[in-house]
Amino acid sequence: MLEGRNLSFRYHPKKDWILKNISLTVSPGQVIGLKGMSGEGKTTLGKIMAGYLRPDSGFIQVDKYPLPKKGVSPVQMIFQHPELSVNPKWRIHKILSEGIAGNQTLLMDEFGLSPSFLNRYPHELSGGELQRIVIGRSLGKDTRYLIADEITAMLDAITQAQIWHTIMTSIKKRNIGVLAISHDENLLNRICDDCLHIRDLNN
Amino acid sequence: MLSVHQLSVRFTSYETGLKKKETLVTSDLELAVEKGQVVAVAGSSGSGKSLLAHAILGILPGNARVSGEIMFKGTPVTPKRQIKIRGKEMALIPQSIGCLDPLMRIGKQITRAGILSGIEKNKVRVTNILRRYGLPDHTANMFPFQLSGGMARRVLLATATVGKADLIIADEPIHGLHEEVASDILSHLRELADQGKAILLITHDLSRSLLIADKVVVFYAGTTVEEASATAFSGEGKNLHHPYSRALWQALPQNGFFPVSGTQPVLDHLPEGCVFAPRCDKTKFICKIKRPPVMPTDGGFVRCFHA
Amino acid sequence: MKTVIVTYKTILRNKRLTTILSIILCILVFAGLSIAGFTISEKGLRTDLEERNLSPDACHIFGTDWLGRDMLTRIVKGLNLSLKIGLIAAGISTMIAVMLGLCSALFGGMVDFVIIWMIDLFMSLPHLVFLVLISFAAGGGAKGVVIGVAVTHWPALARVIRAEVLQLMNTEYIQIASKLGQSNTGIMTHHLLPHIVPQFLVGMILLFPHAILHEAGLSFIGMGLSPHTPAIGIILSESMRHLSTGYWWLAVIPGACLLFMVKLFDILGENIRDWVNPKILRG
Repeated sequence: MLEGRNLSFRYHPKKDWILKNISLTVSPGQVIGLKGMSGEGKTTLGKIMAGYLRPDSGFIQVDKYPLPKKGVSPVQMIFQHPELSVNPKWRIHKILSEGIAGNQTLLMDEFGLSPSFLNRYPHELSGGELQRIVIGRSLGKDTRYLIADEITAMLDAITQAQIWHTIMTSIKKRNIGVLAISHDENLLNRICDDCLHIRDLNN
Repeated sequence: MLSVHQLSVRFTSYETGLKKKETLVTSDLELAVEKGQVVAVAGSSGSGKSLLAHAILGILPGNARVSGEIMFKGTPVTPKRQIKIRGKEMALIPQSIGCLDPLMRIGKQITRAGILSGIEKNKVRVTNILRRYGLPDHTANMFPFQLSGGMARRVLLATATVGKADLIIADEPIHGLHEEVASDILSHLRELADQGKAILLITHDLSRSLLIADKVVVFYAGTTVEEASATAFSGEGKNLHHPYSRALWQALPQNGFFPVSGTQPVLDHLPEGCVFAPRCDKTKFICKIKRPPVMPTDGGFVRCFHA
Repeated sequence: MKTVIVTYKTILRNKRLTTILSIILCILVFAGLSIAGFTISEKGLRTDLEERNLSPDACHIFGTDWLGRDMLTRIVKGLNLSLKIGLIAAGISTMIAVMLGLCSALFGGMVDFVIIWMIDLFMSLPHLVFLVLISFAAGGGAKGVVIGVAVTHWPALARVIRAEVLQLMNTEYIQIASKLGQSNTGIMTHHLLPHIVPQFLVGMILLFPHAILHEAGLSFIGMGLSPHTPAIGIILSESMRHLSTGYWWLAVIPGACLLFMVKLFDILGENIRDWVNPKILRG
């Protein structure tokens, strides 16, 4: 269980609290939606849950253990812009090898991508294809939870549907829990077991 | 007001080594916007939507070559005329708030846009236009970095409409905005159309653009596959003629969330026949060897042999 | 493979081709100069009082000086020495810049503060005075010049590298890399270093002309190399005494050669920068 307890955060001691006393949990195999207006701290909460930011108070636990400071994290975050999430000078196979040790061709197959992409550079792929690479990279053997922050907001409807269909099968297979952050209510209603509004979480 | 006929844009670039190559990035675009209309241009990223706007305004990069016909108010648009009329008779609402001058106060930027569009300096009413878009008066004294995302979009809207432009091209004006702010911006655009302006709304967000659009032009792989009235996008999309338009409609999370397999072809490896043929379930032999011509429909046109 | 037909016109129109040609041309000139420096006979350096102060002719195309030494030989030897000193000094300087730039960005805090302070200090001091002081303190001669040039030329590049690394550390893909289990050294060797290699190369080549000019400058005012070494600075300073007597070739030709070499390095640096950054290669 990925658990955030009493999380509070502000960017500067003189600024207002962005998150105040937020608690939420994600179970393995479950998809939890997080919706809210821009500027309400959805991304900030996601970054805290994934260990990119440290909360000013409160703590994160994965199966009763705190997030590791070094090494592979069991919680992986996927961002909105795939082209910023990969080293532009690396070929796809090198990008993938940073996250997964196993057979890359199998993974490409699972994500509906041609194995010939492995030898290409990121700028030679479309946004949707690259986002699938990024998702694939985050599904290493130690990954237990995914934080998906507006990962299809830049993409057209067909690509969005494709990507979420592959994510759903992949996480069911690996029993991974997902926190899906989006402003699109229709999307969250489609994919989530439970949908939370950040305004209701914030105390 | 504006019509585009067989517009193609080519880019020259360098391959590995020393060879130059020419890539056809958009081909045979067809489009028409009338006074009082909102025409939405929908399609995935990389389908050539933004290039269309840039081609109309004549602000493509130097390595681009444009062919085809652009008519504005009944006369052809030449590069010379583009320089004369852009900012005056046609205006752009750019995609990024990075298009504002970071070191100039908002009021001054709006005034400047007004002067460039041909209004006398003392006749530019900054406060009026700010109020029209629901911005507080003190916005005029702010710098771009002090604006929130929604405010910045409204400022971009204000700079584009402070003049007397008859055609307004809005390039992803609601991208990244939340529901309430987005629908507010959209209703402003609708209002401008109702006042007699022509609006070209470029967006990848089909469902939101339907809220205000009269017509939708669907882009795919650098070409226009269908023009349909906005009312055709309803139910299961039976009134849509092109398989891609229907797929796009049915892939929306509220409509079925159906994915079509495959991806949009890359521009330098376009199929010889119909650009959608590799993903289409109706593909016949002719689709693979011949580009379908533009055929009129009840609500516009379609580029498909089976429509 | 289709054959590329290279005509004069296509060369001019193809920016990438001109870039690569300029790079090759510059490298060829420098290679030629080094080879000439090795193969040219020492005979020309000997004093020959019968042949002094000859203006340029077929036998001595750059003329001879007041001791009858062949100016062509002296200039080739001098430029070679400048090339060598420039290479060492620019190399050391770039090394310092990369190390300090990386440390500053990676460690932050106090380390960053001290390095920034040093950059500001070095940049605010009058360049030439500083150079003179350091090379004097380091014992003068070739060693003094190299040390002087090396320790005064790193700040600008260090600042560029610091900014570049800081920006890289904030990119999503590097933050993700650490969540995927990459260690700090892994991130440095796999992500950061390959990214700053072009900066490093271009920075070094653009430092070259500075190093050479300052070496010549130091020698010119007598703070650098000893008077009997054939260095451009020394040739120029000697020639000053003879300018008023009408022996123009003693000053003009070595000066022009120095200028030519420095400009060539400049062109080389800029072209390599264009080459590694294809974004500015459009149309």
